[in-house]
Amino acid sequence: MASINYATREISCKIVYYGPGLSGKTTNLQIIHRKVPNKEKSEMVSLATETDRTLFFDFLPLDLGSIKGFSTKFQLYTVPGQVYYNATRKLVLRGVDGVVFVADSQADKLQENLESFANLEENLREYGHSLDTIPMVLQFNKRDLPNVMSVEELSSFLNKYQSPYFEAVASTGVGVFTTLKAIGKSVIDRFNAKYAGYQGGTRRPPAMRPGQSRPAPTSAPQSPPARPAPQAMPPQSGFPQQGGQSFPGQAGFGAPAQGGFAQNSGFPAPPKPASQQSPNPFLQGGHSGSPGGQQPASNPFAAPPPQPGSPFLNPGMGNRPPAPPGGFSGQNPNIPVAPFVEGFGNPGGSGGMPPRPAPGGPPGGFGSPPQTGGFGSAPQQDGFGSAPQQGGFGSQPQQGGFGSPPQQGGFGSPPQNPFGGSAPQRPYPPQAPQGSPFGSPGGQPPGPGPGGFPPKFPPAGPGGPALPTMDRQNNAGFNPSPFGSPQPGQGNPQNRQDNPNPFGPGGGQQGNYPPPEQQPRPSPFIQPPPRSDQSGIVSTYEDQRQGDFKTRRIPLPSEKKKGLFGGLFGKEK
Amino acid sequence: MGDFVLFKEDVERLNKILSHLITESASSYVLLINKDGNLIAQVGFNPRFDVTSLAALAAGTFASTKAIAALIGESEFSMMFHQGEKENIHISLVDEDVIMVLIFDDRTNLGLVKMVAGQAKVKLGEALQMVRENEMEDMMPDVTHGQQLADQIDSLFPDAPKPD
Repeated sequence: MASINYATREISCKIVYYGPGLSGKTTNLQIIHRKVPNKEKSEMVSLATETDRTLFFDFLPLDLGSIKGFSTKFQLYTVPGQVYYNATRKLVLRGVDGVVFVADSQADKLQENLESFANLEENLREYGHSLDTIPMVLQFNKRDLPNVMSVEELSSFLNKYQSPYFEAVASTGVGVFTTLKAIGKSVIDRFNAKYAGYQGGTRRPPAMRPGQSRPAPTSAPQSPPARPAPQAMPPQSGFPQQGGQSFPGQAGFGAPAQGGFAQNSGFPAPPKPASQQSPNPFLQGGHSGSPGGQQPASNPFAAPPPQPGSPFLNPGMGNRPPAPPGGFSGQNPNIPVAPFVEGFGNPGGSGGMPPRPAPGGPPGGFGSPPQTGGFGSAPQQDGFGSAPQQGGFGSQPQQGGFGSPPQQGGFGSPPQNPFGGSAPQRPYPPQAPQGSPFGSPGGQPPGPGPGGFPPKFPPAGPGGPALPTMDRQNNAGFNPSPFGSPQPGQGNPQNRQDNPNPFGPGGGQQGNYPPPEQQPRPSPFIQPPPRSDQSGIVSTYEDQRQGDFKTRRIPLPSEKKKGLFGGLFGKEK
Repeated sequence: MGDFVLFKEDVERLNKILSHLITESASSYVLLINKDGNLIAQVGFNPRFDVTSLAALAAGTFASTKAIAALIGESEFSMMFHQGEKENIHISLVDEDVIMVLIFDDRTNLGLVKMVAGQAKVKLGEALQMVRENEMEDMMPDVTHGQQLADQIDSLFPDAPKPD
């Protein structure tokens, strides 16, 4: 059955080309594959014998582009036609959304066509489907051969379900795309019939209907039932949702072209309106398992409500920094990847990998202020981190030392990742907001840096190079800002003492998520894969792999002060 | 079996678990697919492979080993492991319909991957159950319209041969 992903806004349908052996199913796919424009092209997978007979199936993913805001993808499969491969045919037929029956038009192949058709019906029946509910298109292939039956004859034999049928010469491509178009239309129309009347993506949470389980198969087309009214829903444990509106956070779907950190989960939630915030905005930690339901009612910086057909609407993410040199570039914006390198911190709104919560501190550097799952991102924080009233770092650069324009502070992230989340063992007590060197009492903690890779670093403050240190035991020298030290006179030592985590003071408020069993556990024996030359731990690990470690002392995690940018900014004097 | 409908919060929930899994097991990529070959969720470092094809093929592999299992009197194998020279694939059943595919290399080891995957399975099962409780009636679509899609296909293949 089709898979609908609202997060990536993708619909994926499975279409199976069925028919007797040598009727041209694989040829159909080959022609389609050949004609797909290069930029859309993916490889066609063919599990075939040495004589090019399909052994298991052929597979061709076909991206039809974005229609009405949903990226529509067809997965075209063929089955092996030979009678004795019925087991594999049945496997391929699993979860089918539409069938193309490719019949061989030659008169002497009629019996094979009929057998194959009966086999199709039977196999579908075993999955609980029938051709009454599964859209089917008939293709009478090989019309160029001399001994073909007439279309009417073939139709009288094969067209029991009043399916549309087309003549084709698959080897030359004639009729192939007409067939594809017809089946695509049928499948999508069936979808529409099934979901007619439910515009807008409203849903109720499952918890509101505890007695019900997964939906029963729905026969299509069905008459559209009444649309369920949006209901306010109580926050569920760990996954608070508010309001009936499902996608206020759609803003975060954005920037697919820059989607270096794109991950499915990476949808920065709109900021909570100030009026809804608790007196201490930092005390909302761990409360953001799913803030997507929050309506940015009063925040002018909030993303406007998404429009249908604009799946990548993302006004706030405009100034996304380039992908880090480590190369998280999402080559396919639809393929979410999570950054993987230590010390990148939580790449903000893209909700990437959590900083490793190893007790020694991630050698990767500044990436992990405690308890917020990534680089000072406060829960409920605006994904774009730039709202001045939220005390974003852009508003007080002289204190924050960020020096970067507010919009570069994007990627503010609710701690999407519970594993980077609250860590009770951290030595940081929750702090009053005024302890923040950003001086933003009453405001949100500043948005985190852009995934640890701001485009530019302002000159470090007088405190010296602002390389973060990971000495978390006493916090001495822990300056999690790679963007510059707080200026003297701002009481930085005091701040260090009082508020070792200027990014997310108090962000460690223990919320109801993650639950305790999901607390980060150290994995002392796992090294992250060497993904970047800039991560200190990577080179260490490479040394180990080369058997070189006898001559080099592997620095302890607490000694790793360069972190991610050690390579970039030279050795510490 | 209904359509597999994922909402944003579902994906977030799954990705959290998968992110944790991948960190803990030091794998490089993890896919969650269903037995139809549809990709449900994926997390990991920039893949150097076609994820969609991998999903389809892994589902196919799983289906074919199920047939093997039937031959020897098992209902299905819940875990498969393919060892390569550098990259390995661990395929395991999360619940009756969903398969998890973990890709890892020699930076970690199978035992660890199995252990962490086993832990993740429980949580994934819970999250997937919530996905299944998504009700069709609540789903939305401003799904596409068939004719639009047909037009899209036309524009995608402008030089396609037309029938006479």
